[in-house]
Formats: sequence, C-alpha cells, structure tokens
Amino acid sequence: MSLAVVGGLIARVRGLERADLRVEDGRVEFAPPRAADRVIDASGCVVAPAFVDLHTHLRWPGGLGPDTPEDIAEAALVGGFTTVVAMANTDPAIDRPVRYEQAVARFRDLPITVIQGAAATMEREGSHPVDVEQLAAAGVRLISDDGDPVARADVLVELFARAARAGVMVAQHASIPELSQGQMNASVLAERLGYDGVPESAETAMVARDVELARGIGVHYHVQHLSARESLNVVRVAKRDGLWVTCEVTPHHLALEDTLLTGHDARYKVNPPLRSRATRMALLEALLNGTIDAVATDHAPHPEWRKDVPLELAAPGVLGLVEAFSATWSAVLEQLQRRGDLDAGALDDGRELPDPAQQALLRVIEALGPRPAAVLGLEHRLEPGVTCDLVVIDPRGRVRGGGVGVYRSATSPWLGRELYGRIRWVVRAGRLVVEDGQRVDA
Amino acid sequence: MNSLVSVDDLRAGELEWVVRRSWELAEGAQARPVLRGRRCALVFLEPSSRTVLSFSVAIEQLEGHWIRVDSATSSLSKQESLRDTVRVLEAQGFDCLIVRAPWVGTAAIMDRWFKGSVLNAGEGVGEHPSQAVQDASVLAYLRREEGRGLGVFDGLRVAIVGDLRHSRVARSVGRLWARLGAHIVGVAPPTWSLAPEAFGAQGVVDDLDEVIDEVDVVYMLRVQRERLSDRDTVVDQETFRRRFALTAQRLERLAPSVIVMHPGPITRGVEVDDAVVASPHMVDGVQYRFGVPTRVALLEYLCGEDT
Repeated sequence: MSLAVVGGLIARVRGLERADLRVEDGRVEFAPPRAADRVIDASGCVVAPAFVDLHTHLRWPGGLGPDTPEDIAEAALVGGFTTVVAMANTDPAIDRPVRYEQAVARFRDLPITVIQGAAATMEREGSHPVDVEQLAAAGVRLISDDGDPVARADVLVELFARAARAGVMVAQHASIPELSQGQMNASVLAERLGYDGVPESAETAMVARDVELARGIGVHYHVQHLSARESLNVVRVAKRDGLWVTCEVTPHHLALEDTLLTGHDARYKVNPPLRSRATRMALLEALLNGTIDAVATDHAPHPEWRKDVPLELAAPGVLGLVEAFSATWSAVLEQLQRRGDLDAGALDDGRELPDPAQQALLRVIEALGPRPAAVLGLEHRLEPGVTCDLVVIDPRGRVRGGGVGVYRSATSPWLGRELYGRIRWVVRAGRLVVEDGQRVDA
Repeated sequence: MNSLVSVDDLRAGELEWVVRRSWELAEGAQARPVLRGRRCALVFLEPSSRTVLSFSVAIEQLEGHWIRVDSATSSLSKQESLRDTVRVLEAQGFDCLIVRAPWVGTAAIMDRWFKGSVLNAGEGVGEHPSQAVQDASVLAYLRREEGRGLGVFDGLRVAIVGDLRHSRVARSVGRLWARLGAHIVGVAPPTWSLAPEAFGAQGVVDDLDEVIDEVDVVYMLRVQRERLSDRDTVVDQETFRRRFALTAQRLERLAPSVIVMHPGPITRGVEVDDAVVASPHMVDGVQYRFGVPTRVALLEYLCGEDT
C-alpha cells in the first residue's frame, strides 16, 4: 500500500523542513503527492521517525498486573513508539539464551518491534555474570539488571570486559543500594512527611565509579533513567574524554517533582525517585543541549493493589508510553517559558511555532527516535530512500493524560493532566497503525 | 473540615474551638450525641492501648457505635488495595474511620477515597495530630488564668527532646505549636536528629544543657526502640542519659514555672527519672486526663452538623 503525507514539517537531521512524503511498502520518498491509497493531511504537524523506547517493562514472564504485552504494545503505538526495549527483570529473569529465545518468540507477533534485553547477572542476584558471549550469539544487544544495579565492582568489571568483546551494551540502573532504601527523594519534605530519602548522590557516586571502571575497556556503558544533577556532569566529562557513555532520562523525571508526594500518592513513587525542581530544570536543560541521548519511558505497569496503598507498601514505577511525548514536550515548553524564550500562549495563536520552540521540538523528537536508535546501533532517520516508521505529531494539540481506554491499570501519574502535543498518525512498516490518535489496523 | 489527617489541615479558629470545648468536657460538660446511630471503625493496624481506649470511650460518650479493625482482619496483606478496603467499610455503613497504622500516609490515602470523616490516630513516623491537639489543649488549660486561650503559645519557648527522627509526635506537636507562635527547638543525638523545618523548629542542638535554662516547656519523647532499623547507629544509653535525659539533677535547674510533658508511655530511668515524674513540673497526668475530652471535641467538630 502507498501513503502520502502532505503539508507537514519533516524532522530531518538539519532541521524541520516543509516537504511532502510518499511511503511505498515502507520506503520513504520525498516526492510531490501522486495518487496514493491514502493521503494524510499533516498541516500544522511535524513528521518524524517513529519513537524508540530504550526502557519498557513488558512484564513477561511472570507479570502480576492486568497489562499483557499485547496491551503494552497498544499503548506504545498510541504513544508513537514502534520499537521498545524490554527489560529483563521478569520472573524468572531473562538471564540465559533459552529464556531470551522464549521471550523473543512470545513477542514476535506483537504489532511493535521488541528488542529484548538480558539480565546482567544470573537471576539478577548481582554475583554471577551472565554468559555474555552466548547471549550475544543468541542476539542480545544489551544487558541490565534494571530494577537493581550491578553493585559489585568486580562483577561489573568482568561484565564490561566481556560485553566489550561481544559488542553488547551494559545498561545500569545506577544507585548505591545501601543509600536507596527510602521512599522518595531525600529532602526536608521527606523528613517532614516521615519518609526515608534517597539522595541524588546514591546515583551519581555509582555512575562516577562505573565510568572510571569502564575507562580503557571500550565498553558501551549506558546510564538508565538518570535523575541526578551531578550525574549529568559525570556523563559530560566521560563523553568529552571519548568514552562510549550514553544516558537516558524519563518523561516523569523531566515533568514531575518530589513535592507531588505531599499527598502520599503512590502513583508518584518511582525508582529512582522524583527529584526537586532544580534538578528537573537541570535535566530539561541537559535534554535541550544534547547531553542526554534519549528520553525513555521506564513504563512499568502495576496492579492497583500495589499502588493504592501507603508508599512503604507500594511498588515503584509509573505508566508512561502513551504520554511520553506529550509530557516531555509540555515540560520543555514550560522550561522555554521560564527561560523567557517563549511567550505564554505562543502555541495557542495558530501561527508557526516560534524558532526556539522549533529547535526544542527537534531535540525532543531526536531524543525519542533517532538518538535512542543510535544508542542501540541502529540508523533511524527520515531521509529519501530509507525504510522508516513514522509518527505525525501535532505539537499544538492538547491531550488529557491517563491513557484512558489504553492502559489496563488506572495508576498513570498523568491522569487528569492536560498536556501539549498529540500523536496523530503512526505508520509502521508502511501501514497506518494509529489514525488521529486512535489505534487502527489498516 | 470533616477529616483530620495532618496538623497542617487545622485552621487556628477550628483549633480554638476544639481546645475550648475540650476544657468544658474535661470539667464535666456533657458530650453532644453527634454520633448517635452512626458507626465508627477503629482501623488499628499497629498495637495501641491508650489511643484506642480514648477514642472508643469518646465514641461511646457521643453515643456512636465502634468496631475495631486490626491488622489480622484487614486485607492489606491479602493483595487488597486500600481503596477497596475503604469501599468495603463504606458499604458496611461506617461514617467515620479512626486510623492508626505503621505506614506514613495511610490516613491520607483512606481520606482520598472515603466519603465520611477520617481521623489520623497516629501513623508510622509521620503524624499524630490528635496528640498534638490534646497537648495544645493541656498547655493552654494549664495557663488558662492568663485568659489568652491559644495566645499562650505566642512566644512560648519549647524544647522537644529525644528521638526526633522516629517521632510522629514531634512532627505534629512541633508543627502545630509553631503555627500558634511557639519557638521550638529540638534536642537530639545527631543520629536521631531531624531537619528543623520537618517539625517547625528553629534549630536542633545535641545537648539538653544548652537550652534547659531558656525554655518554658520541656517536651520529652520516648525512645522508639521498635522503629529503629539496623541502619540507625545505636545511641548508647549512658550517652543518652548524660546529654538528653531529664534527670533528677537537671530537674533542680528548672525554673518553677517550667512545664514538663511526655506523650507516654514513659520509660522511667531512660528519658526521665522517677523524681521528674513525681515532680510538680510533670503534667502527664493532665495529658492523660485530656485524652478523652480532646477526642470528643474533635469528633464533635468533625462529625457534628452545626459546629
């Protein structure tokens, strides 16, 4: 089938360009619209490579909640994602080739592409490295004990050396366990409410250690859900020194703050915890200046009984595939206003997006598509002749968060929040899979 | 207001009413039967003797019915969300929940879903608002001759002494009294210290002698052995007594007007000596006496229709 996308701005490497696209059997051409099976009017919208999530919990095997991998795939598509990386903190953990192959087979028929990660240590217990070479031979591209760090330095050094030889990325949920037992960000508020806190230094100290351990080994080290101001500096220095270090940040760390826990609402309990406004600002600036490689959701469904309970009993994790773009974009817009680079209401007057907003939008799009793909070693750009999934975004459109009708668990932190940025159309493998925000299967 | 989850919810006018009403009740006034035909659940998810007693007596004086729901009968351990627990209680016709729990935030979460009144009767290391209101009543009552009501808190110098970090009483008493104008200072070993803002204080010192000559009220806390985790540096008893206990020796330094309070249960010989308990400074007896009247006054306020 052929599709024409007309009247939109195309997100290309050098910027936003007005052009019409044709998609024929998945192949993208920059061409004036000829007869097509379907014409999409993308006026006022931006056409971008579909999103790639470096951090999703598909919760298979062993998931307790109502969300199946099929449900999560639907949420991904509605959110503009056609590729997700599935974490391996499942039950049992995906720590050996046979389990990896079972997961790959389980996800093969999903309407999204799943890149299954493997655990870094056997049963994610932190003491025995997985068989990196065998897993790599089976197709594994990244390993992580996500949910927990690889805390032992000797184990990590061995993993780095073997992963470097096998061409596998080591992703780390960096946080010193002894400092990470609390319920929320370490702060005066935590002390007032009576919660133990998790300081930012718990993360930064481990990132700094890991970077030093990686020096000279040539391994690709990736910081998952970076949440601390000083971790950004460690990543900056590592990159400047030519180390192969990348990092991701979540939409919730960009958009939400620790003060939301004042009402003891466990929907806002997440690991690492939501931080202060100052840290959030620093994360947003690092996204806009390119220090941060990717926005990744850490989408983590939980059944209600693990969320509608006191924080100390609640499971950490938020929903976010549907709102990833809107939440990030809304937080970025707010930051531009705070800086004085954007007038309030600039998005509502129907004119072209002002230049700072266009630049920022491009950064957000890059961090959701091309750059996470590059972290995985994939080329994912909108250029003539490539085969590329597409997302068509209305940056001025408004949506209400919560994933109503998409998420099975009603615990989204975005529930009831009005956000900017609508995902209107998604094209996967040349087929329209989301039409005007609704899932379709043409 | 029809729920009391945090002292931060209380407005000065509301507190003034509750305090004056508790005085009347303590002096023998009849409780109004605002709970007649209504049911209260005492959701007590951790052990308690005096609080459950004062609430159940208070409810009876208000002619309400009460049923105790304890950890064994609660379904939290059986994969039921607190929201569902609340739905069940609502469906069973309860109008009021009195909540005591080992987890911070329990009352706030129940209040989010429950249509009736929710009263936080102490949770985790978070808050214990009814205790803070009770002790405000007591203190104002003891100085009622001045005729200033809650005005006695204005400029009142209060030391809260002991294990601040694990104390919900310190958080609630400190913040409530600070809002009324008291100057709060904490006295605690560094390992049990707390950010001053967390309990309305202007600072924390680590020796009782630094402040004992300059305060009007010494509020002693019990050492919460059961809340200490293995991550807490154990404070040895000798050091604790030397620097933080209200000993017989320190008692002699107190000016005659200084009031000593303690939320109980008292561990004699640890945070206070027998001589202190026996001294006229110690008003724990008045505190116990105000247990029921304060809860009656609070429930009249929260559940009454025309207050």
